[in-house]
Amino acid sequence: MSARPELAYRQQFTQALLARAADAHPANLAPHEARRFRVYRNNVHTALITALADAYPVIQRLVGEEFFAAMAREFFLLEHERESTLALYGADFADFIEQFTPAASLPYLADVARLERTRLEALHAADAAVIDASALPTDGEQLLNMTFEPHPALRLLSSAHPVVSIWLANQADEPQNIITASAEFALITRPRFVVNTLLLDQATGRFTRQLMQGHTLQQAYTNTSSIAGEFDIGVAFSQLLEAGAFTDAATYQEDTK
Amino acid sequence: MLSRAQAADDSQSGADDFEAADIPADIPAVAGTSFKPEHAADIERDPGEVAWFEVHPENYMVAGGPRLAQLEALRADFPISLHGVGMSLGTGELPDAQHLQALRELVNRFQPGLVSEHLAWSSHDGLYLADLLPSALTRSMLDGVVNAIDKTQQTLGRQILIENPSSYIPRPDSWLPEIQFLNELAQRSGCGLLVDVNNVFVSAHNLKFNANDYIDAVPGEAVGEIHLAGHSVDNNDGDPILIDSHGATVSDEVWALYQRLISRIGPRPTLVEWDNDLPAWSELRAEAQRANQHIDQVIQVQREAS
Amino acid sequence: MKTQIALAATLTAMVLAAPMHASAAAKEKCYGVSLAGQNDCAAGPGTTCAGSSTVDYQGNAWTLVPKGTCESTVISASDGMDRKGSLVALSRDLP
Repeated sequence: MSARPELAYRQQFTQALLARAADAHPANLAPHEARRFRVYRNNVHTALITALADAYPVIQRLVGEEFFAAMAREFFLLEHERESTLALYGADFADFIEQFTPAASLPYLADVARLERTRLEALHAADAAVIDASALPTDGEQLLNMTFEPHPALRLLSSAHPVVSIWLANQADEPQNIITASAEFALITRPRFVVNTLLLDQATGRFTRQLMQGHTLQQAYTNTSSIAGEFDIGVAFSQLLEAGAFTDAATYQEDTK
Repeated sequence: MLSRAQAADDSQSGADDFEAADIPADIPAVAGTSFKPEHAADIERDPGEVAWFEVHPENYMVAGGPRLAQLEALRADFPISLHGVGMSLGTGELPDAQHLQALRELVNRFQPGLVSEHLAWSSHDGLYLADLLPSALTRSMLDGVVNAIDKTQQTLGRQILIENPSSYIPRPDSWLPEIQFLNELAQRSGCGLLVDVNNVFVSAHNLKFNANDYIDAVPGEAVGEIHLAGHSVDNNDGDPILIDSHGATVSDEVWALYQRLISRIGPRPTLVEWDNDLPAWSELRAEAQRANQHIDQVIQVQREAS
Repeated sequence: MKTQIALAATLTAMVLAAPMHASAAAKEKCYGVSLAGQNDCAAGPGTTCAGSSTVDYQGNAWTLVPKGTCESTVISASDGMDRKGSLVALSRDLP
């Protein structure tokens, strides 16, 4: 097994890579060697900042590249563990942004990050075929008594901020810049390879959450309308079907539950 | 060893839907390139002479979605190589069990012709550092890396290749020369070698050793693959160094080293890598074609000699 | 409260009208090039100082303010007061 000196060498190397000072280097290097150490330090910092920027492109757009890079660095310098695959890197970035004082002027920022994260998780979620709407019973009463299996990529996000509108505005080259303040529900689906981001009204959002929790259409409607008022269950349900939210349906059996 | 013509035939027999038996896993001793999703449509239209592709398995360690589907579509037409960057074998400690398991699943699913990793470390204490960092080339480290490779090869049920990384900081005199370390590694673990000719050139410049001597000391029988890539020059405040940037065409000096290597050991699967400042597919394809011209020359000389 | 019969009727109408899901029907070839978080084995682009030495702000010394599209993004509030996304403009909303 590797002896102590090799471990100490890696420890020193790692500390210098993650030190705040740009000229940090392991102690045993000659001055010109120390300058070369910056190659490694630069690689580590650039790779992690780039990985976060790829995962959070709208956050980068909102705050600008310089601010983003600095914020990303503060984020990864606090990490104590990090997986060796970057595909799903940055799960806690939104929580970090929420506590990050220099970004406090943008109260919506953390939730926009949560939306981007949700989309990334949906992108890499397991594949599954969406339910075939034509195979569902056409008898409404039968339908009302059914529960629906969420697609592995299905995500629902609610925010006190207009996160979907902000996200959508930043997909265009010239972002539309007046957005009405409102709480928003985001529905994320990935029926096959492309991630869909849909804005749901409050009632449909709550209704969707009920269905995802395993309630029947009837229960979900009753629970939602008691809070959100009456809404068109047909429109709401077909919106979910069309978005590819479910993989399967089952008739609710009271005695087996 | 396959001739260039045979290799081209193999690459054209792809069916639309991937089935393990459709396309042979074996990678011919001709040029391949890195696979970048940006090039997928162009590759489908005209792969040119490119007969195989290489990807980093880490980018496919996900449950589902477009990346895996895209790799499956590629594998339906070409043999592929999995070139790992996250195993951190150069710590001399056993690889992370979860990472190794994820690699095993990809190997079983995609049946790559080659699987490779680096003589480098990239994680410390569970913290991934996203770079290939220089291993201490000591005797005790050699024991540790042999064990790590053993474990990997046993878990995967196959041989892996180990690549020489690019180096920037001079090594203590007490360390083994890198090529000696790699040679002993191959002998003791049964792993093969992936010779990155650009890394040899970059390291030789940065660490002031003779690149030809290194290339001539490569044990030919162990070499399973060769890498070529472009590098860049960095002034580094008056101490110019070469950076393994993978963002340019292969330099003339590296082509010469490549020719020197395959003239001695014979043609090998040769990968042109490109990661930064990605060019049009036609340019990357042209680099691969250039590698094939070098291979043709070597085959020609061998034919005349026999 | 709508009756169950009324709910059932609107559901039936919508399900009958629902088109076959587009992506389930079509053989989708577009993978949507998403490059989020890729590992690679190249050295970082450019120079020895591109990633690490340009930005060195921390703790109390932090002097950066967000300078992206947030600057021109106006969240139009229901009280008629527009809140701009810049540091100065929004400080009144902070505790």
